[in-house]
Amino acid sequence: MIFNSITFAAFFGIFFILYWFVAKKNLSFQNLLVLAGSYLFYAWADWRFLAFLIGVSALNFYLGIHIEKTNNPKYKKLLLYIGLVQGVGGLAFFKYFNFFITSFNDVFQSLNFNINLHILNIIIPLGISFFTFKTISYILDVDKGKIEATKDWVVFFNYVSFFPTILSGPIDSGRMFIPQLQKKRVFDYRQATNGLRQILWGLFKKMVIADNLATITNPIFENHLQLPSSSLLLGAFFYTIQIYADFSGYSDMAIGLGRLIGFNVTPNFNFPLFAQNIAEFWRKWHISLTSWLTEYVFTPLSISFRDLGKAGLILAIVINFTICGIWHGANWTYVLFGFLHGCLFIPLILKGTMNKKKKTTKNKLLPTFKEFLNIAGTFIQVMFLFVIFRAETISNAFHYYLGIFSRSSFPVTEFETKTRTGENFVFIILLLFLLVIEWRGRENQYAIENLGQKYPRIVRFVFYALIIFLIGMYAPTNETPFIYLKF
Amino acid sequence: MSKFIFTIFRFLIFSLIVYIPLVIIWAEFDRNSFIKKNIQYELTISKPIDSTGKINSYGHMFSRIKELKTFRNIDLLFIGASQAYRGLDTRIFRSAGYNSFNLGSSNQTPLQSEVLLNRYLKELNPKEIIYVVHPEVFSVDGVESTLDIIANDRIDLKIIKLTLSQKNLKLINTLIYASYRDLFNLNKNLNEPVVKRKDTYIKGGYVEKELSYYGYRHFEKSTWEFNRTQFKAFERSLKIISENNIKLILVQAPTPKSFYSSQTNNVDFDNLMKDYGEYYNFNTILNLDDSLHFYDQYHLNQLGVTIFDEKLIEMLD
Amino acid sequence: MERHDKLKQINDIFIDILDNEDILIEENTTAKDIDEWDSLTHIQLVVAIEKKFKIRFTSREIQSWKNVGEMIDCIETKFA
Repeated sequence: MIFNSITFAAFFGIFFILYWFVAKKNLSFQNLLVLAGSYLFYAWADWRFLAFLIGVSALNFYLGIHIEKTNNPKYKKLLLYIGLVQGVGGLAFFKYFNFFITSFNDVFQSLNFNINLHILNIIIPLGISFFTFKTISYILDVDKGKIEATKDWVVFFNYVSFFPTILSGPIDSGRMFIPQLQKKRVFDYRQATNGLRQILWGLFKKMVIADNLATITNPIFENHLQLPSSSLLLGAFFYTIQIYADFSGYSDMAIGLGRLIGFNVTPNFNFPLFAQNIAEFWRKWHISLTSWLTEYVFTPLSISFRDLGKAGLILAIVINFTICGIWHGANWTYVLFGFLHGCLFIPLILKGTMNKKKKTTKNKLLPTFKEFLNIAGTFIQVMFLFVIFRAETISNAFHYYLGIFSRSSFPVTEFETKTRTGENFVFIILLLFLLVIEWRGRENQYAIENLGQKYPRIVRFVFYALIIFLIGMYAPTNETPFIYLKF
Repeated sequence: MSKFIFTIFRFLIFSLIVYIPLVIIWAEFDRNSFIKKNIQYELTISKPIDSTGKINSYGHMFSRIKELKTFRNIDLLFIGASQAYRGLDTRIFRSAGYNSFNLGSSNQTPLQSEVLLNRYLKELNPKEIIYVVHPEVFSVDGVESTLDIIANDRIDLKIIKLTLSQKNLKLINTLIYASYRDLFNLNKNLNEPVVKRKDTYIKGGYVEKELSYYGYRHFEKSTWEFNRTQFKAFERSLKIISENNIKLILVQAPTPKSFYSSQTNNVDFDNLMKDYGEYYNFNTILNLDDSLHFYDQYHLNQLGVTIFDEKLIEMLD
Repeated sequence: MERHDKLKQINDIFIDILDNEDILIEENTTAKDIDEWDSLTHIQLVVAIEKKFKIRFTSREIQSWKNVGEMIDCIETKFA
């Protein structure tokens, strides 16, 4: 079930009532209910892999306990490796096997050997990229003593399968999330309303902004060979906003849902499009993933390479981000995307400014001119690399860039012509609205968290009702097109 | 917790109070502008092409519903999508001695036919019904045609139920606006021109198009994918018809051979329809000329309509 | 070298690497207390400390410190 669907709303409504009215007295009951809900949710999405999910949870639960218990360092290492092999191996197999095979075939073909290994009909278990990262971080933490292995299987299984976050994150760290599962959740009015508010804003970003931008960007990316450079630039620009609105919107919904049932899920986005350099961007974009990579990939690598000075740091960053790229999917475009992002750090590392935090001055209405330049500069870098992320192949991305730089700006496309002026006008207003609200709210976890707190509640109600109206008026509606029998 | 539930409740009521007037105001803006994207209130009387170039409602549904009120106890009732209201000429049937009314409408799918039958069958009280069927109406979700009825006919509980079951924001918004217009009888004095672009509304519900001819086009092979909800609605309609002891004839109107032969599951559709009763597929009964008797790949021109209707009358007798 | 001398020397390293003259660390200071100290600068601090005291940490040791005090404890074991 996707979050913005009536089925999910019904599911969550029932869950909410059971959780706070029936299960409230007892921690075990609460946790069992969450587990049942999570498995129902997962099975609804894909029942074929429920057994896999449970199996992975059980294995890592067992490994955690025994890694901690044993005094034999060799056995400890063995158990750790079993867990890592299961995690990484599982990902490699389900997500990347066919990618390896086809790449292998391509390489050999270019050398004039037609080996033609067969790809398998592999279906990817939903959420595997997310829950695998949770289990891997857990056993690594237990091994290093950063967390105590949990002896309560319900708690652990819940950590792995928590339904608000299992399909698309955020990736909660065990250290932050498991303790929350070990305490009874008590209903808190402010937490719950905060959650609802965040869900509302997430719905707005996803349905009004992202889904509508997609109707513009999809045709542009599909027909990029025939379009003038102005459209291609517009496509890249809108796509960057689209992917931010889509992903952060979905994360907002996940976090909001967590709040409604008493959990503090880790934040995932902190207004990344206002970042002033690429390092800051990655501290604000998909935070749970980059934190994970920093802790379990970058830090060990940078420690191992520390004798190489700045070159070592560069190597560590580039590898780190290449892995970040690959995590997103089995395509060379993602590899290149990650690699190039890593490369963008090079000037920062060489100048020694990678770690300088450049906060925009708080509570100022407008950025300073310098801040604005930095934000724009970062946005442009990010925007160009998202073209690779979005393209289906590297060749497509290359032709897209070629189109931007070599083709003329004219003729103008549909977006720019008068026949769609009305719709474009609405879009521009909505994007401006988004910009203003997000900029205003940039010191908070999400844009409207503290909006209007100084005013009486009715004012906030009006604002929220307005958001609902905008969703009702501009969310895409997806009816089947009736092509001919309408005439 | 109770404070929370109470607050949510108050907020929901409040939003509703804000939302409904906003929708109505927004819809009044300029009925065909993009600013109100998710409201599609298309009275068939509106300009056929709006200021943005988008082609609007067809079918003269507004006039048809208005005229319907004057018909009682007819011989033949026609229902179906555009092939019905453009394919069954009430004048031809009249000269053969049949008093008929054409309740076909733009995009009409079984979901909408059911609503129309529920509303008007008793008054019209036909002896026979000719239901024009086509695979396409069974394969779409019917949102477009619900929009047509919401705008051009009155709002009642059944159409509200249908709207809610189709779970579409556009439908809900349009329903709100249409209810407002209905409640305050704002469409009372509206009139639809008899001739709109190349269409002329003929008494009894038929729409005649200015004569033109079909230009051949090649079609890729395609297969219809049927929608269960439509079949269920279809069955419910058939039940209403049989409960009222009315004879039913299912008919598939002819389409150009080049188009008909590109669909791969024609036979499957025929078999499905045969199970429902007396069914005739005029693609196999008539031998029409693609370039002479049609004006597009779905519709007969007036020459073709004459041949089709005369054959149908022959079979009725 | 006394423990608190070590602390002063490490403080100087922090000021130098993190480019902030106002930094004043204590035994229980953690990365949360200092804005510029994160996993990225951490490694530069470690390298500088290793150079200064002419010692070598293992990877496991580096990842095990929870605050400055534990860092110093680790340094002291190298001189034991």
